[in-house]
Amino acid sequence: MPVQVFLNATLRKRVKSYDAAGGLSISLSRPVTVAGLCDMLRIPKGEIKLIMIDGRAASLENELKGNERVGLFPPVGGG
Amino acid sequence: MDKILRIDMGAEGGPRATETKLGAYTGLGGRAMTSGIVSKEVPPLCHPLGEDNKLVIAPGLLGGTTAAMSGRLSVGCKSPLTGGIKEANSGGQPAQVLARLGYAAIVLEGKPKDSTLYKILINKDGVKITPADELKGLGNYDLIDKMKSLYGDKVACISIGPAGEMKLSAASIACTDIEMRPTRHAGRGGVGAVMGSKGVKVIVLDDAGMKMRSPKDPEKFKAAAKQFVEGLRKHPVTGQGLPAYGTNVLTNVINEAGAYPTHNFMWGRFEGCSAISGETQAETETARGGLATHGCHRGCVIKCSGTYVNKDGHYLTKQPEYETVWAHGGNCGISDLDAIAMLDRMDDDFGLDTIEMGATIGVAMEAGLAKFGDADAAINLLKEVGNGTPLGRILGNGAAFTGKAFGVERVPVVKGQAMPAYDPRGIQGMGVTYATSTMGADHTAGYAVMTNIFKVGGFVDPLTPEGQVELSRNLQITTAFIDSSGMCLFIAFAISDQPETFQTFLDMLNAFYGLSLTADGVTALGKSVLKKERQFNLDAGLSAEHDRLPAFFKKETLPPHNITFMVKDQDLDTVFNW
Repeated sequence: MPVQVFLNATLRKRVKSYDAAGGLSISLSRPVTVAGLCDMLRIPKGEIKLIMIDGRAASLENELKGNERVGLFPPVGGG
Repeated sequence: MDKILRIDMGAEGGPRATETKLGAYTGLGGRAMTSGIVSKEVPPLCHPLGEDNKLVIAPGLLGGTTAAMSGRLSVGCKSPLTGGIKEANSGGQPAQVLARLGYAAIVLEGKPKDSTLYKILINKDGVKITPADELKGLGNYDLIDKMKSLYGDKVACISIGPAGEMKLSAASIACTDIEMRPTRHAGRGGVGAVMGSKGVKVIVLDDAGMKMRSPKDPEKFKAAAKQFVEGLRKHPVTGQGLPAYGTNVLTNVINEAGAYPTHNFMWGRFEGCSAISGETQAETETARGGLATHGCHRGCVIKCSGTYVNKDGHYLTKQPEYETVWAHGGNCGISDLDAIAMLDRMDDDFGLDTIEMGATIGVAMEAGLAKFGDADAAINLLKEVGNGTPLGRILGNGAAFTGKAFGVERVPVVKGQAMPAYDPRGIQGMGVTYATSTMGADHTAGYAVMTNIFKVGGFVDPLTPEGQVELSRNLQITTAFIDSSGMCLFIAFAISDQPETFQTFLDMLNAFYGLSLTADGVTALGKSVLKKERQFNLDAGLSAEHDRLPAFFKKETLPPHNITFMVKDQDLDTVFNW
């Protein structure tokens, strides 16, 4: 099963014609770290502050096996 | 800012204004001033709409100075919604103008002898209070247009709409923004009802002929103020994120975290969130000729607001905040930004708290008064409030009142005040603040989201109970201080991550007042504010049993994480043990 990747705020500009509602569907032939995923998508890792895998806080080193939902965010705040 | 203006609305022969020295209140500003006066002068068991309650309006310690972000206004009283003490906080122009007029606070006291509605004009020549029954029933927009035609567009106004006149517990107090529109609100806790009970429709503030407040040490103050701005610009949240997308950037963040209260706190994710996200909102505003980056008061360098225009490019409302978009959006199953902007406009016009009204409509939908997702029905329910129909008056008294009227169990309130846009099961630190804040459920009182989700000031896992009490305690203390300084709470992002920016914040205060305040002093002042507020609430009958979330948060699990609120009651009772 593919990994579903949601890009947010300024990170969307890194992927051409990004579909905000559906996100990206990435098929993995082997497990990959979040850092590896960013390399595949050509998103500079320095621009990412928050990573969520299935709604839980994660880091660049966490491994994706497939079927996960990944959210990537630059530094954000509000309230 | 060396005097207090007291207006006795119940004086013999009509309202009477007197000026007093600061006395025991010297050195206080903002929330420290409002809570200081309310806790000392208002009997905790008084009726919130009666003659013994007082409405205190105070700029912060740095109000009226050249310091960036110093335009927050505190409005305090005994709350008709919570029955406890209240400080509702607003942006806009009035705080700066009031401070430059020399007032550390305006206190509205007493009870009018009849139903006459009054207008108060304050300028360099003094205070003029005149009957203004011709303003009765006006929405804030029409009211401010009238004030503009009378006093020009350089004044600032503090006003109530029909909801305040009807003394509804969800009524807000409006503050005008840079364009002199009534878009910034001291929203929470029914402060508008207290202003209505005092018979005051509008306070017009004109600082023509007045000067910027001058610091004790101008050179040091200037240098610190400059560094402070540099610190805000340098931090990615205050320098880039908030300006570009506003607070509504959080829709996707909180939804992704599974803590976005959907359909009256039934689920933690909303399938329509992409259509109402900050990214979509900014795109829509820019494409239609609105503004995606705009300040709410002069001197703001973060500029998290914007201008929302309709499909024809005409002004509809200011950029709705995240909490508003959530309350009227995902919480009610609504994914139509134009409808949400319309509801925001109506709230501002009637003078209503957007969080309370969105939560109330969510409860009404659960009760079957309308279907989740039906934007037209939500607009019609809000119209009922503006029109003051019997149904509207039930809704206008908030989520708890509405839940009771229609027999709904799932009512997301603490101390009678509706929860904002973060489910306490998905962000457990927020649950601690909701439960224990002196204000009722209030996200700004101790914004644990910052550390639970944004990883600002460290990281505490939002899905476990560990560390949440300490996190909420420290945030509540710091927040009480920031709310007293007159600074926008969003400086917290920069001062939490950058020690040098925190220091320049203190340097500004020290240079302005000739103080030598340290981090310990900040903590001490924050604690002293909370201590006064806690004591007022205890004396008003709010005890540990009121420092709890509604039972359903402990019983019903929240998808997608399928967890309940897990912080134990005995741990909640230790938040104020320091």
